[in-house]
Amino acid sequence: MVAKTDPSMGAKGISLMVVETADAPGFARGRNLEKLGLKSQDTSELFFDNVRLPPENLLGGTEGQGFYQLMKSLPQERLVVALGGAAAMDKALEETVAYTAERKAFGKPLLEMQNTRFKLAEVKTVAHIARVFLDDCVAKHLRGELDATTASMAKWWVTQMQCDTMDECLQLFGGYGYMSEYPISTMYADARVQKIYGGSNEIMKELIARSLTP
Amino acid sequence: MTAHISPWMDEELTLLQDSLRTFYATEMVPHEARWQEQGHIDRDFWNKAGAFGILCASVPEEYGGMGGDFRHEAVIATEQYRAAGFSGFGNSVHSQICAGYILDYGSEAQKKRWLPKMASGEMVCAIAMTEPGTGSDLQNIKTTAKLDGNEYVVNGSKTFITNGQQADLVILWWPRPTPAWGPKASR
Repeated sequence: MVAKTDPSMGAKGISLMVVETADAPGFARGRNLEKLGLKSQDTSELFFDNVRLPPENLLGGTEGQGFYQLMKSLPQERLVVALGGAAAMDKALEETVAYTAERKAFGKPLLEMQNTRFKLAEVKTVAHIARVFLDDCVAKHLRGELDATTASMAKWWVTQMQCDTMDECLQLFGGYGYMSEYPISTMYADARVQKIYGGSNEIMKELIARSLTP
Repeated sequence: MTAHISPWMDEELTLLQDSLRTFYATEMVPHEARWQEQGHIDRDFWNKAGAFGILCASVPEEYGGMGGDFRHEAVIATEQYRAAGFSGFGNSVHSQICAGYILDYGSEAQKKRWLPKMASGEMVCAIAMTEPGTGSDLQNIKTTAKLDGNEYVVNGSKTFITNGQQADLVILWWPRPTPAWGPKASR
């Protein structure tokens, strides 16, 4: 989301304004956007056409503080995205274990076949590592010590693992995994945006790379 | 499967976790398919979530919140995703992002004005940063807020805004105006 802290950006700054939509003539919502996933989430365009706001609606009452406010709040936002990703991996594992224990092919449950067992062993390992890493991030955040580099690591890595995990789990459902009635298909589609919002994963890597000083 | 237990969990948080599992399983998961069809969660789910105490959990009680800390937010977010693996309930934006901005940077009057209504679910909050064509490139934000007399006049458009259809409050980003037409900033 924040690509670079260009000096000119810092000087120019950003401000945050709070709009109460019920009392803002000139404010309009666009259509509810159609998306690949997260279909129960209302995601929209918003339009502001000569919307008049009193100074009381300027957050904090001082202009130009938004960029500073953002930089301070971003680690938490990224940690929250990662927490959702780790939880989704737990859920995908649970769903896939239940399905493969039930589903039989070539005379036995899929869960007794080596490929299934090894794939799900990998998923369980990754989900566990994600949880332990995030526990450390949460503990750091509670102490006010979660820095941008670590939060960026959590965001990109967990969401990448989430997408990889959904793909592996869906595969074990075979054709049913592609059908909307199976939650794994929804989880697969919903995971995709996690690598894009909250600061794209490429931006996360750029932020981490800045700490690579010789 | 032996579940991993976070070292920062305690008895109170474990109780919260148990109650959340029931809440999401009964009040959220059964409605997800219908919510996906209609393209949004039911508006009154926000009020139910507020009554249950999962909106603005880390906001102090004097502003209507649960008086918790980030551990409460972490448990609330985690259990939401663990319940269904997905959900359109935009509490992360509402509680963990927007409420944080108002709590950390709002004036006393602003906190009293908005946080209690956000905590109860009376108001749903969105944050509007992205504009058509900007994405990660925030230097290209075009929205303006110009002083006219004692008021700001805002013009611009935003896109991909989570909670966009249901939002009663929108935290809007705009570049600080040039000194020629804006009051001096503090730095």
